[in-house]
Parts: sequence; structure tokens; C-alpha cells
Amino acid sequence: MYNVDQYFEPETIDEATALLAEHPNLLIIAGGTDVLIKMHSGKIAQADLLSIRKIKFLETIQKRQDGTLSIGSLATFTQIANDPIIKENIPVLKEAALSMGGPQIRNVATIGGNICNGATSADSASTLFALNAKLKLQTQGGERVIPIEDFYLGPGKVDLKPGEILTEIVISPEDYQDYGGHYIKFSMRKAMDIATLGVSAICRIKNGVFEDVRIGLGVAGPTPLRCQEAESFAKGKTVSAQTLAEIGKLAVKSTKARTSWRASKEYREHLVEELSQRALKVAIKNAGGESLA
Amino acid sequence: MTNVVGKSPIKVDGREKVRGRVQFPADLYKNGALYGGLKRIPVPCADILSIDTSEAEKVPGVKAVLTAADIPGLNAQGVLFTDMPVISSKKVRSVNDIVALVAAENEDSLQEALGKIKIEYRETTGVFDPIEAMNPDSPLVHSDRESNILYHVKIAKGDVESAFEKSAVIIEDTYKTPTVEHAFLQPEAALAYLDERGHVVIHTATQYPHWDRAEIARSLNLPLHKVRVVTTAVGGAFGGREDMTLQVRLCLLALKTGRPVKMVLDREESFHIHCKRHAMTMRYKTGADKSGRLTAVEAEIIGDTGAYASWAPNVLRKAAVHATGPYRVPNVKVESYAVYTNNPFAGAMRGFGAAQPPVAYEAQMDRIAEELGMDPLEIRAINCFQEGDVTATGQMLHASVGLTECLDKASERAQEIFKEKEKDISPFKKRGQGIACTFYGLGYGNGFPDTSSAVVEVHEDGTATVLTGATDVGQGSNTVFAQIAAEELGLKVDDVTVISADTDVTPDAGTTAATRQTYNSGNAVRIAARKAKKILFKQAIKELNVNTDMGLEAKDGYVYVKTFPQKRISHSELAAKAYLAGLRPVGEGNFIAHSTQLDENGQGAPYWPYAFGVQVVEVVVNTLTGQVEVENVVAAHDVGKAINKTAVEGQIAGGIAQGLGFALTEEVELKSGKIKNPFFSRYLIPTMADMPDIEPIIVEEPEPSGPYGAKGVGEPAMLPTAPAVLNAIYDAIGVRIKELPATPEKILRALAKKDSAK
Ligand SMILES: Cc1cc2nc3c(=O)[nH]c(=O)nc-3n(C[C@H](O)[C@H](O)[C@H](O)COP(=O)(O)OP(=O)(O)OC[C@H]3O[C@@H](n4cnc5c(N)ncnc54)[C@H](O)[C@@H]3O)c2cc1C
Repeated sequence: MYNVDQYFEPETIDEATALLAEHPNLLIIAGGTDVLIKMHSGKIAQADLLSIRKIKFLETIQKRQDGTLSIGSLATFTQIANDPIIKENIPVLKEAALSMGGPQIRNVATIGGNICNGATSADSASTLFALNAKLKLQTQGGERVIPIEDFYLGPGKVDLKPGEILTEIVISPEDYQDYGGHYIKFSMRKAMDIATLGVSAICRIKNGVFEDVRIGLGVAGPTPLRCQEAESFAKGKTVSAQTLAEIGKLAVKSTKARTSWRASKEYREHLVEELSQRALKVAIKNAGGESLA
Repeated sequence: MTNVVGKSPIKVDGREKVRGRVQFPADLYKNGALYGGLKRIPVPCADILSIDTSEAEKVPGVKAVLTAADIPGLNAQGVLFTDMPVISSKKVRSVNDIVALVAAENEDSLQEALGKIKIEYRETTGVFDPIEAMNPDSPLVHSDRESNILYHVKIAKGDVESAFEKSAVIIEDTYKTPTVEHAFLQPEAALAYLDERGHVVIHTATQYPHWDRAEIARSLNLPLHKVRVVTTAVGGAFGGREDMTLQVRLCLLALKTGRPVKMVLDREESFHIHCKRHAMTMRYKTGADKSGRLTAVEAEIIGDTGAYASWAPNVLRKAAVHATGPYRVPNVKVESYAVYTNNPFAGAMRGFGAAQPPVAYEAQMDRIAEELGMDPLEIRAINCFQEGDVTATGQMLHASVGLTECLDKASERAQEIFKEKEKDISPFKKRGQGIACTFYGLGYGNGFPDTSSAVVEVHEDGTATVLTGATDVGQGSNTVFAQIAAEELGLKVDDVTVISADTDVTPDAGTTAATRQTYNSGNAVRIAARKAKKILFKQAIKELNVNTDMGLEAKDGYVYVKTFPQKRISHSELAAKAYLAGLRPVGEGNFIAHSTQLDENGQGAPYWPYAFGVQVVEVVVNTLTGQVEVENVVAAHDVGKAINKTAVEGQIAGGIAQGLGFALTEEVELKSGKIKNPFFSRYLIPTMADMPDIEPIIVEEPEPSGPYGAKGVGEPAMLPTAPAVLNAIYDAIGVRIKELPATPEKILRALAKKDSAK
């Protein structure tokens, strides 16, 4: 069931990347809430594990001098939900964190694991997409920083190269400052449920006009995605019910929803249209705009 | 006045449970125990051509690979009919079927051996729709039967045809409920071994150890006294632990290997091994006169029992008997069928056939009220059962009918809580209210021998022990029995120990099912305690120097003269003296619930007593998404007498949780007999976060034959929830969901249809 042959617990990133370089077959385990489920069900039959839980540095959440936010990959959802920096700067991520699982899961599940697991339903992903987050991936030899959108390759597939560890999630000041946001997780019950749809909307408003709108969706396609068409349409438009209605319609165009046991394609598309507007309405308020009915 | 009964002492096993010290079967270990496992084939419907266990047997560490040929006794099990093989050998009828058993020294060997059992089979055509299965040309699930219709019962009273002709309003429709899972927390697990005498012993979580013993003995060809079933703590049951799952199979492995064998199922296996709630299709026609009085009900109920009978006849009978709801209906015609299919088998689940009809009849009530421009409360008030009324089966309700009180109290309280709130919360959020009334006949019913027994022994220090076969499945029956014994003997709950559900030491008390233990076994314990007390009083006559025990009372640890309370003796002193005098204060109690069989027209007195319940719920429906949020539930239940108030409130809360799942999210998704969602990530039960505010109201309309007037609440608690939620959804947005669960997508589709019809 839990067929683990080798288990490593390095305490620094250097040690970890060295181990990865030496044993390319090692599977990284953080909170283990995805890895262990897969091992239990047999989806992963056997694994040698590299635990990163002792690398305390990876838990750090900080705001750099220039305003850049850095979230360590090992930060748990409980930690993110309670963190003053997150609360003050990107409260929308706090909303996403609190929508995830239940208290026990949030206590162990990490944001890095959430992303690297590659699920379209990952509750942090749509918000990180909307925030133009970048991922810092480290190997023994060096590091690269890529936009989160480029990291997702397909369902359960991410661009994690052999030997790489996700160390940090980085959000630039121009991507979050003066923005208001809101995350809606639509699911069949209020806790311990995978999203039927996740919608994260952020926007910046000046004089009743959208300066910028960014919408990230989860479970609207094989990977989390952005609503490019809706976003470009919104730029420069007056904040109004009509603009929102149009954004809702255009948002559907970016989706590649499927029928699954949770919901039909049509229903998901309907949810995208309605919930992107709902999320944006709250985001407008949070961005200091006037609230629409 | 009672001293202990009616209070809420904490559960007798509460402290251990909170500290995690209580032992469930998976917590038991025995030196040298083997790992047991079950082998299935991946299709629900097949002829088995051959089973080759030779490779599996060669796996190092494997101690036994058993097939049907290894069963010393009857290779069949079942509570009513023995139609389910212990190990299937020729035919597989459902995903429940087991074709081989393995015991091995470790988990790895076990898994390897299970994988190496070679089974050749030919898939056969199955039938998965009960209505199709009723068709004479459809494939037979059991080839030795003439039809897939396992059971049919008719209830006929008066003349429905002419009553409909005279009715001012008639509502006709079909309602459907899905296959539902018990979703108890603790998956099946057990430890079996041969004890030093060579007796077969199994420790497991079951609802009826004495029945398990009979099935084990029958299949292992052993006398009853050489089989011992010990019930561990039970992590929820809800009817899912009445049929044989691991019991016979694990005992067989222990017998054949001579070693202890333990088996612990995971959630997915658990979904496949125990029964489900019968999916039902219910066609209803209900008539009323223009004042709203019901004139006639015609109903056809078809229940899918899957591949095995389990309790199907009793479940579909209970559905038929309860089909008209707790209302006076002069003309009734009900036809109820249990049908075999190749779906997973259905059996007992909280409500036992009385949970599905309310989804239909309570919708019908609201629709009649709407047609007549009446209030849902009013139509119920004028039709609901009162003392002296006669049911659809002609049964006279001669006592304990607290329905009107439930209706009054629930609606009053709902009025207070709900009144200030707006219906139109926003353009897309609508609030609605729904009510439902239900009733439930306790016990096995229909003349079945419904017996409980108990023994009470008072020790020489005055404390006491109760022995009863009744399993405490978590609902608190052991606490209730301790309270009853303490009440009768004049002791504190802490002075009483309850030993329950061990076939070697406790007398048979029937199943913990049918909401019967407080009533049935509670009566047995009370009788036993009174007999023990009578013996104590014999000594007290001497000690207190009185001429008869008539004026004596036992209370607060003393026996005293009621009319002259100064004259008293403590239990400890009295008991010690009684023991010295050679007396043994041991009492034995037996109680049989009375019921009669239905005749060919479904007339008779099939259950007694009846419990009643009314719930009023408040929901908010989001018209953009179709999502329903249940905000409040006011739940009034006539339980006769609450022996333990907190336990009753606990049952009400739990019943509502289960009812909400039934209403909104729960469905075992079946595709050609296979379960698509055998895990809790896809079979969605409500979480704490989904629970509404609950106001329990306990109504106590005493039942003369019950202990202190008690009836029961276990099953009744869940019955009104789902229909009340459905009625509230209608009240909020004007769409009626007739097929559970009421998912957001279904609601939205119904809403779109309604809008396009405008
Ligand atoms: C009961 C339950 C409920 C859940 N509910 C939700 C929910 O509501 N919403 C939701 O989004 N998810 C949910 N999940 C899924 C899971 O909890 C999350 O995806 C979680 O964030 C995974 O984090 P982890 O630390 O446990 O990852 P792990 O299981 O440790 O790892 C997940 C994957 O990421 C890789 N990985 C982890 N960290 C790194 C790293 N730093 N660098 C490179 N690769 C890495 C691992 O190799 C693995 O492939 C739930 C899971 C369970 C068991």
C-alpha cells in the first residue's frame, strides 16, 4: 500500500538538490496529501521519497523591500490563511486558502504541493494565475523563474524538470498593488470537497473605469487558465453591469470545460459566466470601486 | 417522578470514546494473527468457468486460499432467504460477490496471492433497472426463481376509484429516490480465532451478534454454543451491519488455518460489501375534497433490492404501510414490489422503507394545498392522525399519537425563528420554508417474533450489572439500559455496568434496528431489574420489619418505607444481608413487541408503537447556480418519553444530517451494476460546515407499553428532513424536484424549464 523503499529528509535546499541530482528517481513529498493518497490507491505503486519538510526556510512568507511577495513552497494553507502579509497584500489568496479541504488538511497541505500536483482544481492555482505569479525552480546547478501559466502542461502534468524543486512563489508589486480580488470556490458542499469550478478575479479601478482585470479559472479546462479575451475587453471599460455581463460571456470563450461526474459542460459554462461576474463584483468593491447590485 | 430516567447523564462509554481508548475491531491485535482478504471479479454478472488457486497457494507466507468447496456447512447467507453465497462458485450476480478468501502472514503476501488467483469467467447479460427486471422476458437474477419480483404486497381499503371521482383535486406524479450508502465512519473489520476450547470466536462491529452466530454456525456446521460473537465498539451502523459481511468468511479462515485472522476493509471495499438503501420509484395519485380532507391515495412503489434479498420484503412492506403518511385516508390502494436486479444488494438503512415514501407523499400534500389555496400547515393539521384514528391497514391508533403537538410546536417555533426574514434576499437569492410530517412503526412488525431479553444482577455491595444482547451502535443504548436499571433499583448510573452483545454471556435481545432497543430491550431490562428488586425487597421486609414489600421503594441508594421514609436501609447493607441469607437478587426479563400479520388486503396491525415527527426547514436557493443552503431546521419528535434527553437530541441532529445528504448530495452512482463513486471524495455526505442550526423539540406523548412511556427516535429523526427541504426549495423558487438528490444542476435545469414555460 505505502511501498516506500528509500526516504530522505534533508534540512537545506542544497542538500535536497544534491540528493535529487544523485537519485533522479526520488519523488518529492511535502505535506503528502496528494502523494500518499496516490500511493494508497496504487496510482503510485512504489516510490523513493525525498521529504522537504525539514527545510524550514521553505516555509517563509515575506515581502521584500521592493514590494515583491515571496511565498515559500512549503507554506501550509493554514499558515497562508493566518499570515499578516498575505492578509494585507493579497487577501484573495487567503480566501482561496480557506476554501481548501478542511482544517486538518490545511494544516499539512502546502501551496507548493498544490501547484506541483498539477490539478486543474487546485484551489490556490486560479488565484496565482490571476496574480501573474512566478515560480522559482531550483536545481543543484542553478535556478529558473517562470510564469505559473507556463508551468502547467496538462492534467496532472507540470514543467518540473528532473532535479528541480519549487522553492518560491513570487508576486511582483505591479501585479497586486492597488488591486482588489475575490475567490469563489463552487463545490457541492462547504468543506472537504474538490471544486466544481474555481474563479479568482482581481481588478484595478480608477474613476469608475477598469484599468485592469484578470480572471483565473480552475476546472474550466484541463489546467487552470486565464480569461484573456474577457480581460482585454474589460480594460478601459466603465465599471457597469453591462460590462460585467459581457465579461461573463467572454470568459466562457476561454474555457475548455468537460462533462464530468461533478457537472456537465453546459452547467460549468453557465457557472463560469455567472460566477466570474459575481467574483468580479466583490473584487470591484475590494478594489475601492462602487458596488454594483 | 423519575430520578435517572429523563435526565442526561453522559454516555457510559463517553469518557473512553473521548480519550480514544474505546476499541473498534481494527484496534484489536492478537499474536500470530494472519491477514485476511477477499477476492472479487471485476464484473457484476458472470458465469464462473474455473478458479485456479494453485499459484496463489505457492506465494510464500500464504496459509489458506479458500473457495466454495472449503465451506463445511451451508454456502449461503441471508437474514430472510439464504440467497447470497458465502463464496460464489458458479455464478456472480453483483459486485458484492466474493469468489475466494485468502489468509497470509503479511499484507504483501496477501495482496500477491489475491492477484494470483486465476478466475475464468464468461460475462452474462445482467438487468440493472428494476422496472425492466419485472418484465417476464428479462434475464433472471436467480435462475431458480420464476421471476425477478421477489415480493409484492397490496394494501386495499375502501374504494379509490369512486373516491377519486368525487375528489375536488387530484395530484398524480412519480417520485424517485436513489441508491444510498450508510457512510458509517468505521469500515468493516474483524478478528477471528479459535479459543482454547476450540470454539470459533469473532470480535466485530455488528448490529445483532446472536444472528451472526446463527449464520456462522450454519455455514461452519458448528453447534451454536461453540461459536462466540463479541461486539466491539461500533463506529456507526444505520442498518449496514445487519447482513453478513466478514463474519462467516473470516471465521472460515480462522477455522481452516487454526490461526487468528484479522481483516480490515478500506472504504472502497466497504462500499462493495454491505447493503444499500433501496432505490425506489414511487407513482402516486392523491385526492382531496375541497376542504382539503384526503379522500384517496393510490401508490405503486418499486424497490430495487439488487442481487440479494436481505430485508427487501420487510423494507417494501414498511414502505407500503407508511405510504399514505401520518394521515387519515379512507380509501387506499398501495402496491409495493421488491425486485431483484444485478445491482449491489439493498437492505436495511435508517428508515427501512419508511424514508422514501415521505419524499412522495409530503410533496403531494403541498401540491394539494396549493391547488386549494391552503397553507401547508393547515392541510396537515386537518388530516393528521389523532388518537383513535385508523391507519391505511385498518390499525387503530389507540394511544400515544403526539403528531398534532409536534405540528403545533414545530410550526410555532419556526414562526418565531423565521418571521423577520425576507424571502427575496437578493435578485438571485431566495429564501423558502418547507414542512414535512412523518410517522414510523417501531419494530420488526408483521407478527415477527420481536423479542428482547436481559438479566440484571445486584451484587452484594448493592451495585448492579445488566446483561443484554443488544448492541450499542453508538446511539447510547447501554446508557439507556443503565439509566433504566438505576431507576428501577434506586441506584446511580455509575453504580450500574452494562455488559452487552457478547453471545457467550448475554441473552439474545434482537437487532439494534427498527428503532426497537429503547422500547424492546428497555422493557426487558426494566422487567429484569424489577425482578431483582423484588428479591432484594424480600430481605428488606425482614430488615425494616414490615409485613409486605408493597409500601417499599428503592431510591437514591436506599430502600425505604414510602409512608415512613425514616425507616430505610442502604443498598449495600441490604444486599450484603440478602447474600448472607442465601438470596441472589438476579432478575431476568423478556419482552415481546406485539404486532399482527397483514391479511391478503394488507389489513392488520403490522407495527406498534408509532413514533411521529415534524420538521420545518428554511433554505436559501441561489438561482444563478442552483445551490441550496439549509439555514435552519426545527425538529419536533414524539418519542413517547426521552429516557436520555441529550441522546435524543443527538439522534435528531444525526438524523437531520443524514436527511440532508439524502435530499441534496448523496447518490451511489451505478453504471451497469458497478459503483462509480465508492469513496468519500465522490460520495458526498454533509460536513459540519454544511449543517444548519437545529432546534430539537422533544414531544412526550407517553406510550403505555413503553418503558416509562418511551417509544424511540433513531430512524424517525431522519424521515421528515428530505421532504421538508424539497418543499422549501419549491417555496423559495417554485420548482419541484421529484428525483433525489436535488443537485444544483438539477435545480437549475428545472428553473430554466419553468422560465421557458412562462
Ligand atoms: C481530504 C483531502 C481534501 C483535499 N481538498 C482539497 C481542496 O479542497 N482543494 C485543493 O486544491 N486540494 C485539495 N486536496 C489536495 C491536496 O491536499 C493539495 O493539492 C495539497 O496542496 C498538496 O500539498 P502537499 O504538500 O500535501 O503535496 P504532496 O502530496 O506532498 O505533493 C504533491 C505533488 O507535488 C510535488 N511537490 C510537492 N512539493 C514540491 C516542491 N516544493 N517542489 C517540487 N515538487 C513538489 C510532489 O512530488 C507531488 O507530486 C485535498 C486532499 C485531501 C487528501
